Amino acid sequence: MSNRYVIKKIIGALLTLFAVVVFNFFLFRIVDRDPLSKYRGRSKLSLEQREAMIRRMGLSGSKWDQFVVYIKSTLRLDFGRSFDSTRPVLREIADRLPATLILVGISTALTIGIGLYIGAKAGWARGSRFDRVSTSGTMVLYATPEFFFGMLLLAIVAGRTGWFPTGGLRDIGANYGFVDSLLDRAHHLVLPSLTLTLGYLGSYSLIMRTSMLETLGEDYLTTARAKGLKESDVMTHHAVPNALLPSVSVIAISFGFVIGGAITTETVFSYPGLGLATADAIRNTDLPMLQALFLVASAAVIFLNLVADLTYGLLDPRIRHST
Amino acid sequence: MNKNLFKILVALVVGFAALAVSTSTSVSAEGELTFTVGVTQDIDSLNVTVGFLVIDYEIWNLTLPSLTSKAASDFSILPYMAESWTGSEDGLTWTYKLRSDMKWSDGEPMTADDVAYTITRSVADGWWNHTPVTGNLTATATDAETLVVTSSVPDPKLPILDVYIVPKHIYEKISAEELPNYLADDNVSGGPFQIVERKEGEFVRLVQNPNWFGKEPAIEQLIFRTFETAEAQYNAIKAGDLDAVDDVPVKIFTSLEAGDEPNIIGIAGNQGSFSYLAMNSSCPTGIGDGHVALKDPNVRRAINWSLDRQLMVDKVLNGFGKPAVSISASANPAFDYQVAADQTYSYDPARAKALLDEAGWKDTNGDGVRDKDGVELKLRYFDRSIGGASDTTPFITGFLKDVGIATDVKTFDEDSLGAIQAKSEFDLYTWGWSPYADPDNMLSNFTTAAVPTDPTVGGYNDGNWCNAEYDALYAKQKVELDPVKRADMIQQMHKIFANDGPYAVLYKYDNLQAFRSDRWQNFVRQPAEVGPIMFTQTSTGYLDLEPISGGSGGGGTNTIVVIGVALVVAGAVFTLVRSRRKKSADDRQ
Repeated sequence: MSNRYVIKKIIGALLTLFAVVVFNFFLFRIVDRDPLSKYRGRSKLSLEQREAMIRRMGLSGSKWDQFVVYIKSTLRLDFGRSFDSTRPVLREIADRLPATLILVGISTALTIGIGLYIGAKAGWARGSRFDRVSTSGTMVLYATPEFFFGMLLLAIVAGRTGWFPTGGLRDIGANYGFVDSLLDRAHHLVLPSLTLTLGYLGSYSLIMRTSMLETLGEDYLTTARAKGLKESDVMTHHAVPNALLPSVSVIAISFGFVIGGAITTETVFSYPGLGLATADAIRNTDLPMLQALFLVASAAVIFLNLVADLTYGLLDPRIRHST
Repeated sequence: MNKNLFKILVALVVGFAALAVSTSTSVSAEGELTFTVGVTQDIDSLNVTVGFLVIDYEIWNLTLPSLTSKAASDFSILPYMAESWTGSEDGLTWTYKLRSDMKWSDGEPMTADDVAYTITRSVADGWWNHTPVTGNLTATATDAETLVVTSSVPDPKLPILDVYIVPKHIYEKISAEELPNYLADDNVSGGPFQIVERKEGEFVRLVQNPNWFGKEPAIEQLIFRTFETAEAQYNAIKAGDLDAVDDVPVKIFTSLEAGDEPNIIGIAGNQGSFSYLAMNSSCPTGIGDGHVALKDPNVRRAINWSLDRQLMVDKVLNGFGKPAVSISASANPAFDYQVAADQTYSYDPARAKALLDEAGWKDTNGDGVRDKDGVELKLRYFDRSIGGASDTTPFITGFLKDVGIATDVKTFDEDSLGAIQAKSEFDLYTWGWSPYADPDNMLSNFTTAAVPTDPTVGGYNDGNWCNAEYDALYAKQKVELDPVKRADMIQQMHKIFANDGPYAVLYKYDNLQAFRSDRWQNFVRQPAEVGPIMFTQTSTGYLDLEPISGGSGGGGTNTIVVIGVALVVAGAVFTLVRSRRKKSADDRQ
């Protein structure tokens, strides 16, 4: 992979990020929202106090002045204070990031593992009973919104049987040791991560199946068979690695969405991650929160897309040489 | 092989740890008796000078003391910080004798000085939760146990002094400029419980305040857990994760009433909360751009006559409420408008049409919408996006259409609609109020002084209405010490408000709450017989609740499931190990 390829990709990513930053500024200023509405009628703020608070929020002066303040503070990772909680936005996001990373991370890993396995096997044994059953199954999963699985699991598995907690991150107020609290969190993670896994399993499986089908007629498989390799080895060592290539970028981009959180799943399970923070911020028209959440989510997708581009270059010699 | 052994060990550890967790979660580690309440509203602010949500008041009721308390039965005065009180002959000065054994949760003494400080500072800084009560008061602590409160005018609310007392040793360190941003996270408590942990958007956890001097609650730990959806909340109480739920959706509550869940009891309590349609009456001293038609009391009356309130109670509330034609001045129904049914609004579209005709609004161009002098009777109608708040909209707009009034409906989040109200830039909008125990606060909302005149400040008079006669009566009742005469004045104010006012009050709705009746008993309503258990004026319901011995504890992890999970994990590890071994054998071939 040439340096030029890498530099080109990095510059492209930075430009996209800058475009997002600029777009964000204008997007959230379309909404007419009094930043001090929280204090309206409740707190006797003098005119000076109001002006000082608005200035601190970076909302005074002309749009251009505001834009300069916005760019400067964004570079410093200062996203202002939440209209709703009045706490610094960065702190709000930092508080909720781990929960989302764990939830979406685990389910993305599961989705990728299970999805690619099913897809590869179904594609390899095209037309078999496994293929028919798994393909129609994954089609159904693919077509169903994940919050629907969530509500079913919540009502049936959690509500009826009480086997799993109905939401949240942990047992509140319990004083567990390290291992117990780890297990407690795992217990709370089961249903939300199952929901997400079911919700996204379909797309990985279908992509993998398609690319597996494309490799079936390739000459190198014939060669491998001619060498006397077992059919399972031909599949795992020769077909799967090649079929994986198209999945790489899909996987990388979906890891990017990890940061954005799973809005509907987190809402169904009252799971306090970034997805829930987004839902709350939309409900409360909490513009600084929304602005930062959008930026973080877009930045994550842009960054992982860049990673995908670079990895792809490493994995696929054709890309390596063509640049 | 060593590697495989390691994996098996891991599986065993996981299995055992899972078993350990299953035996330790039925009660919290300290063995505290926990009462967990599911709420759909997160705390707005714990700062008593900023917060305004119902959940905020619930937490303050449990963590901040007041000078006097109110009886659950009828809101009559009870001792709290003060043990006794005597009034001067003119009724202007009250001397309170305070308990001598009071301490804040941090061990600092709680004295008359804290009360005097709260009253004085709230007036000076204009604390909006306090000034409706303290605005006309001055207070001095003559010693640690004696407080003298003087009112500049006769005050019928006294000797009840219904405001949260803040710890002076904390608040005196915070300047007026810093106060709006103060998070009140030092958790110093003077009530039965104190906050020990809070995660925004997740939960707030309280335990008994060790220095609490009142009735000892059976509940040792009280948790308010925030849910995003009412359905999730309901599933949680069914599963036993919660002991109580506030704000149960009407449909779910109806199934509870039908006995669908034998372990859960539903309690529909009324404490005067009501929904209304505000009509911008364009008070001349106010601001805004209300429709010209709504300036005419006859048009406002016509709208009142056009509504079928009973239908809305039946369809929107499933019957958990009752139609109302005037505001609830107090949580105490004794202060409601006492009027015979045939003397006030009922569902009478013909009468509504006649009134509109009389007011000159007629459909001259045959488009189904009335008009006058070239102006169409088409009204901007705003409602809120929060759950259920817009359920009445299709009914109301339908009733209005029937009498020839067109509407243009828009939905906003609460803050945005609040900002619109502060500018009085609307024609109609729906919202609700929940009254306090004393009627003064609610009645003050409709005086000319409460009309918004500056959008950045706003005002509670959200119908943008003014009436000199109402103002005069308000001022008179505010200083009337004879309760019978005051009640009579309030009835006159109701009459003016219902007949001339800026509201079409729709109904009083019940607060729908659910409790695990297999775990808890002694549910004490406030007000007596009709009110709810939680989220009341004093929140004393938690102090009355008693556990049922033998009731299953909350938040338990099912042992069978944990064993199952452990077995699955162990099985998966074994399979992995086996396949690896097989593979390495294949490789050797």
